[in-house]
Amino acid sequence: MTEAYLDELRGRVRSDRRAVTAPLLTFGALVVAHVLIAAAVSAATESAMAAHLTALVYWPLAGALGLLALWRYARHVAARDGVGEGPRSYRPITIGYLVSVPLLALLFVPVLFVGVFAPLVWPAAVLYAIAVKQHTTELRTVAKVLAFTGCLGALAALSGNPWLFSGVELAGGLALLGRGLARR
Amino acid sequence: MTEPHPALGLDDTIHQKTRLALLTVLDEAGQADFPYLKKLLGLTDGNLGRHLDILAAQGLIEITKGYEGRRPRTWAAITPAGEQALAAEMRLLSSLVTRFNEKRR
Repeated sequence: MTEAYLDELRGRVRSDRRAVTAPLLTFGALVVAHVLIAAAVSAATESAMAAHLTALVYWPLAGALGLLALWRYARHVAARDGVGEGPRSYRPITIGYLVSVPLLALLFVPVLFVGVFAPLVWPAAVLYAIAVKQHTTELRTVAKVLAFTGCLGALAALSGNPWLFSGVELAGGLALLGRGLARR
Repeated sequence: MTEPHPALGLDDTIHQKTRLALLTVLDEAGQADFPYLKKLLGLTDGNLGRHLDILAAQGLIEITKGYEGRRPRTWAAITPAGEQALAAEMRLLSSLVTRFNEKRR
């Protein structure tokens, strides 16, 4: 019985549960969808405010949808393959999110503006919460890098270049999708 | 008085190789069913059942029996005590390896 054998076992279970790939693909797709929706709204209204309002609504809803999709998928994998859920369930994170986001909105906590000025930080925070709850080091690292990239995107916004801002977000989304596909 | 050798702190329940592998798998999975564990670890029904019973008796895992349609299904899930015991075991093993390597120099 070696440490390498135990690590290999963990890797196989993680892969069987899609513990890394499912969150990366889900949130990667949501990031890319946000870039496309924001571009469509900007083109249709020619208003930066409309794009900002879209982001304000988009990320709280997309986060909930992403978590609900992951929870449902994890239940499906558990029923089909016999692995997952229990203490590593998405249930507490999803319910916590669904309760806390409306509360934050009602209490006017300015955290919702993170989705507007640093859109990548929102999915990064959700991915980080998943990584902590599920003890997934790789996902934790990805979330940190994504949050850092999101902060760079916010600095790009300060430079007044909307294309650079969207470019950083799109690159982050594609990187999540690419890594998720590579880990399948 | 000399400090007791860290190997004396190993927990026999967890240190046994199949049970250590089972706890590691359940720590990663959260929960897994009987056929999954059997296939992953290459165990027979009797062997797996015996080791799961030992872990459950110590409160390290929780066994749930139920039905999916007409098919019986048995799930094993790690408990908080199981997570703590596994972490303690791995810390101890790590310190033993460190001690071994230091003595060899």
